[in-house]
Amino acid sequence: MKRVLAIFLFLPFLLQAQTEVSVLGKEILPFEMHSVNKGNLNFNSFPNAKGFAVIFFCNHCPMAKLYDKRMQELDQKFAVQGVHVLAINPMDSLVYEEENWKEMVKRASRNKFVVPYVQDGSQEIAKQFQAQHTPQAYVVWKEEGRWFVRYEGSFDDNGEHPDSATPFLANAISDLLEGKPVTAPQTESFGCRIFYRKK
Amino acid sequence: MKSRILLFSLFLLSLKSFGQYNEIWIPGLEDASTYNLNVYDTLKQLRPTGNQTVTIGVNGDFWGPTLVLHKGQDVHMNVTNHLNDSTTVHWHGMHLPAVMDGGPHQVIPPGATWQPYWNVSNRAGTYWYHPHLHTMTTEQLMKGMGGFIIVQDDEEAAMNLPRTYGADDFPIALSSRKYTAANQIVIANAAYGDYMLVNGTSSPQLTLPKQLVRLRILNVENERGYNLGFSDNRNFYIIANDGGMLNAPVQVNRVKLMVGERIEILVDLSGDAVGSSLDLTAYNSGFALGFPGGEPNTSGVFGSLLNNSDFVALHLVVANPTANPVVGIPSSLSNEVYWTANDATVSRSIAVTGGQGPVPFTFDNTGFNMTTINKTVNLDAIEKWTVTNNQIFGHAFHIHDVEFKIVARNGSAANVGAHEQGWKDVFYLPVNESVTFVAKFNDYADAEHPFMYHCHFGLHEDAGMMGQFVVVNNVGTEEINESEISLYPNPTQELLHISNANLNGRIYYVTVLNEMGRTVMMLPSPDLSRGIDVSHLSAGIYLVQLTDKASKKIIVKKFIKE
Ligand SMILES: [Cu+2]
Repeated sequence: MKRVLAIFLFLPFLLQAQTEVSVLGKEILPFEMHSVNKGNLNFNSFPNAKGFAVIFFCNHCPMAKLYDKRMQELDQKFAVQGVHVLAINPMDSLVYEEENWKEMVKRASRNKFVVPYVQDGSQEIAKQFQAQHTPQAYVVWKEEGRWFVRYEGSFDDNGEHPDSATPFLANAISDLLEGKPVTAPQTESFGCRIFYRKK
Repeated sequence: MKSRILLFSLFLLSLKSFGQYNEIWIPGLEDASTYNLNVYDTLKQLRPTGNQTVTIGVNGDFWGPTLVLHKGQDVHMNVTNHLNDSTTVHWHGMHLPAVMDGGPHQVIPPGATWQPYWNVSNRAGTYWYHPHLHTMTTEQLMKGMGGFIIVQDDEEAAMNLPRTYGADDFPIALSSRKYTAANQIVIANAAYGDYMLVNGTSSPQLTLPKQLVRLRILNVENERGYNLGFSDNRNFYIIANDGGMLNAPVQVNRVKLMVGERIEILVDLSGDAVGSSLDLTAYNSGFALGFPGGEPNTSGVFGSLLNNSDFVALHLVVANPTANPVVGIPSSLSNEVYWTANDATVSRSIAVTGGQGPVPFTFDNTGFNMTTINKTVNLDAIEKWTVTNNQIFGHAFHIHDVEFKIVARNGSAANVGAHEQGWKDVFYLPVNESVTFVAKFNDYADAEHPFMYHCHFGLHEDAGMMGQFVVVNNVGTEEINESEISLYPNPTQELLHISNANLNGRIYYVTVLNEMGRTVMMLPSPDLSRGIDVSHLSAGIYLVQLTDKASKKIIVKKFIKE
């Protein structure tokens, strides 16, 4: 118990922020996902998948809270066309009580998540994308059996007013589905910072 | 004629609805002996169109309530950190024990409540609270974390001055921000903002009554200084500085206000027409390099659309007077007797160093280190500190614990500005100047917990332009025997008492942790006679860590919350 205490006490000092980086064009290695509402998943769980909209997300962030509904609508629009939305929570649930599994279950059920709400406990998924914020959106696209980042940035550009927002993420998916290069492959992400554990 | 008036009022109306200015938010005034400050990640519509900005609010969505403190009374703070990062809250200008000061060592982890308290001994004046987490101060402050403190005392209450908050007495936090394309505040590598933000309001305007008004102005910028004046060059009167009321009002038509500094001014609007307007203007053009915000650049780390220009800091509109306006500028205010250079028994010198190329500014070539105590001061010592700046840029020097008297600039008392008489806790240190101040380090000794001295420019402080000092005396306390400690009642629902024995003053710190090891309560030198209020904790097993003041050993006990 004493050792555990010592570790927890100093956690805030172990956390550090990533510096801004782009992973556009980077190959993403398939990863295993533990979701609170759809069981254990990986890319093969979606046989028709052409691509995924990977959204780093969390319980706490007030900006993320504005996107619950939009995520579900995006999935409902594009899943039939082979693009699935994944909501991935990379927040350190040891530091932030609000981000624990139980609270994720509540969030997914309260807001009727149709998309898998995945706990990235080791932050390994977020590290592959070098994600900075929640919410932050990426599109990974299947090309010759491998997966590449073809969009990175925000879901859209207005948290509180979806009607007046430019739907960056949806536009990128539409471009890719039409076989076109993404018109705006990189936008600014904003929200709450993701702090990575040093060890 | 009538239709012309109608047309004119329609024109005024349209100006109002499509006008370029927004009436500034006046933070709510709270007057209590216990304050609950909840620090939140939040959002605010800071830009006129488009996305909301990610902000930090204290009990709200940007900045926090104005706290009234009464000289001579105790105040208790419950600061709860709801951020997804650690933070600290520093009570800027307050004279209090180091362990209550909220500097970089009093880290409040996410989810924890920090409960400092002290007896208010500061004079009536305008103070403030803000984050002080090392390397994160700029980000948290720029996002909006902070608030005003107004100290009241009998001396000031007897003065014939405007003091009806929000009616003839207004808090004004001057700042500016730079925004990204997605309307987010630029924090890294941005010394200056492009757009004014006053009390969290963009394109700020303040409506003032046609009478003598009191403005409490705080510079809460990252680096920019303000050379303030009114757009018609009228005179105004400085009645208070950082540490409270001056002995007499100082008439000026310009005053420089650097980051962290406060002034209270009186300005007479009784001769202005209702409906007329004027500006509180920053006359920031034409300074030599070294004045913060005087750079010619409009972009880049040190660039800004406001740099090296005269710009509107706050648009002012004159409205009807209040019922019983205060009339007349007092000829005298206070009767303070200040330290002189001759009172000091210890002299210290600090040199500004670094700042060349990528090398950050430092003091005495030593960057801030959490574990290095740079100065040791004896309790009750009266000391004279001289800070010299022979580097390329100006700074705003701030010291915790004390209010000081500036006794010389470049070695001469005659160089000290009329506007910087009175007690101070921040001063402008221009290029090629030295500033000498005298302070008495009384009341609070603590060999473990240091106070800070630092440049108040966010980026300079975060990069290490900070040092720490401890105030020491030789009065020891008796080591606690673990058998003296028992927690009762246990289990408990409301209050937790530490011991039957009187351990007051012998327990340096109490930390309560939940089963997961998360810190939930932090109580610096708690007043054990009150017991510890644990009524808000959820049911479960908790650990209490008690730090013995004498040995600094930690004693761990367990209790059950029902
Ligand atoms: Cu500085």
